[in-house]
Amino acid sequence: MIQAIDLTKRYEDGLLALDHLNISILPGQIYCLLGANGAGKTTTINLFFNFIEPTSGTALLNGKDCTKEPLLAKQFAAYVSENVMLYGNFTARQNLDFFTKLSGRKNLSKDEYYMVMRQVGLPERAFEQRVKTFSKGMRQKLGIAIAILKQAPALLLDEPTSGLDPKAGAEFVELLLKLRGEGKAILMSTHDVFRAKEIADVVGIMKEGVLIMEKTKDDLKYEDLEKLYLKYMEVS
Amino acid sequence: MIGHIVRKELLVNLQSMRFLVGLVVSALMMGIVGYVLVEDYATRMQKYIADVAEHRAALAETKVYSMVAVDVDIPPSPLSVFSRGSQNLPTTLHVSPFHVPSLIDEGGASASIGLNGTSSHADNPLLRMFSSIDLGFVISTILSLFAVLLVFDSFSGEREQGTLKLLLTSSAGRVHLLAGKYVGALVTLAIPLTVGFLEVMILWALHPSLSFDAQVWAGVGLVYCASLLFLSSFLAMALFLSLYATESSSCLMYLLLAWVTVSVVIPAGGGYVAEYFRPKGLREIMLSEAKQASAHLSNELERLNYRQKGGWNNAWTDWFGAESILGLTQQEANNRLAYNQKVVPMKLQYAEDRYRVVESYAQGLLSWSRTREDLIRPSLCVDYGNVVQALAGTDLNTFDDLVQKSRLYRDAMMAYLRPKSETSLWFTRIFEYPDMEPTEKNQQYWQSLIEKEGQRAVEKIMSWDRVSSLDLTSMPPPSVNMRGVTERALHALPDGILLFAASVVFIGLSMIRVRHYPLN
Repeated sequence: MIQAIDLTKRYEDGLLALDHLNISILPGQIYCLLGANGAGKTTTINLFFNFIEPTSGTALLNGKDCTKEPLLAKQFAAYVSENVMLYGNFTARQNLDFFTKLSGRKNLSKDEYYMVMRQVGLPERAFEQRVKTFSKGMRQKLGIAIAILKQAPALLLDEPTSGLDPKAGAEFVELLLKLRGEGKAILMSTHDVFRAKEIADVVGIMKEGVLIMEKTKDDLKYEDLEKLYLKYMEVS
Repeated sequence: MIGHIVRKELLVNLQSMRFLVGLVVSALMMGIVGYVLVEDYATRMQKYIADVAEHRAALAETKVYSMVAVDVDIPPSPLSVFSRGSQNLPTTLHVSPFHVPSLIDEGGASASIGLNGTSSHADNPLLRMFSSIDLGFVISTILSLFAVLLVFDSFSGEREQGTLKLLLTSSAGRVHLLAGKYVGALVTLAIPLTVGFLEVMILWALHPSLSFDAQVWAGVGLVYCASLLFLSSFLAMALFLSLYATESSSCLMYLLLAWVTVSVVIPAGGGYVAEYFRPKGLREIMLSEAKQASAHLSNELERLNYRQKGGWNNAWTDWFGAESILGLTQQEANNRLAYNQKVVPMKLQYAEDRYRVVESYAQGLLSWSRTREDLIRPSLCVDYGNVVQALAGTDLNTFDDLVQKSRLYRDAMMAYLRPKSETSLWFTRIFEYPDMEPTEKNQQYWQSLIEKEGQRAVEKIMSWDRVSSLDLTSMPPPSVNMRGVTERALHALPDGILLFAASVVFIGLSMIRVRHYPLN
């Protein structure tokens, strides 16, 4: 569902942000990309949404080339960023309505919007409240609601739990597991080693644009991911 | 897809403080300017009606054919509230056998070039075309500034607040986003524009002395469409430029610079540059040629011993033109008739010569004026001003058209008057009033009357007031009509096409640019 083949990105200033990345994420799988700042995690996600163009290699969503057919490929993926930003003067439902319609889904009722907002754990009072009054956690939840309503088979999450309080983080993880259960292919970049170990089916560690380690959940059953991570980070 | 983005843009804009401020400012400006100009139009209309009546009465009072003169009054354009344009130009065109109307013939009754070849009028009324405050000016400055403030952060704002990436993860492409933002901003701008037009229409409808026909409303509709076209081209330009900066503050600076350039620097700067191209010595040539022509006629008249042959009792003559004489004998009238057979064609020829000299000067200035227009045409505000002027009929072209029509009318008038110049009715009516003829019997009677009642008693008999007016019903009536709305629209078309082309080009360039707009 989510596939990178020799995906490489070198920026105009010469920085090699991503070097021949090869990953493949199947439906019902959560893939966690770990790595320090500047390791290439966000670049990878940006390439899948064609925010930037690859220097070489291919990013595929449901088999569609994200560079050659970006509009088609994007239909198969939803996105949640580290800091979900929405239209502050719109209510939560208005934001949801706009982004859902933009994704091609029409004629959803108010109740359907409410249901999804309940599902992601937004309090009822926030449904018709202007988003500019929302906390970061509430905005992240609304971002997830937007992603859910898109009904895309793939989810790409760029450090979505960063800055969330423990309770919100736990709720978020619960939601991801539920989505995995529904057969979504999920690629999540994160710094959070513990959370990655908790939910990931596959964990990849990136360093300076290179995927230096990839292990499945089974591989990690008897290994300490934190020690592994620190070990790889120390190796020059 | 684009519809959803348009709707979102509209909602975002309508909820913003800048929209509220822009709406209030433009509604206030258009309301105040509209009120002042509607009142001004009503005043000018009343003056026009009074002038028409006065000039009609003056023509009806004409006693001899050489004195026939028609003042063609130019009605004020109701659409002048949108563009005052060349409203400082004459409101009356003087047409007479001895006066051919020309573009810079401002004076009406008096010739623009005097006997000695000097002009008492400003040398270049074309330069009076400087824009004054009208609704077109408000739209091209206030609403264009509003357009800048609406779109300066279209992309940079979304980028800064973080919504741009989320937008682009949907099925909407960058071009969809651009199109949605463009249409959304245009619909937003149409609101204050429509409010302004409604204000003017209400002011018109409520004015007790104004009423309008379908032509006027069609004209208003066209001005509205032209205003939308102008705003769309300005928006397209602003959107394009906004794509060259990723920070809203930089975008705002770029766009304010562009706004000042388009609305102030090019129109004013182009005018200064045009001064360098202004033809030198045209006026001197005109004055010299006019002096030569008048000197030639003057010499010819002296040579023919004008004063001796005409008779001067109780007479009024214009050295170069009309004449009305009472107190001639039949013999003197015959002499003058024979003399006029030579002199009248010379005077008429002089009028034509003088017209050619003035017209040559006018055309030189007109040509320079067009160069000036071309120099400032890169400004969208100027193009819009030209369109509205043409639609309102307040541009120089419309005035030139009226001058040409009045010249054609003079040709028809001359076909009627020329045969009359071969009769004594050209200069006198005395033979219809035997008691005015200076016969021996009459002169003895006048002498006795002077002794008894004084000079005034004779003057009463020899008065033009006693003479009936000429019957001019068979003279062609003045037929100098303003251009219709279709003709005006055709004249506005070239600048309208420029505005449309600017919209298309800027949107096309924006579509190319937006593909490379950085998201980070």
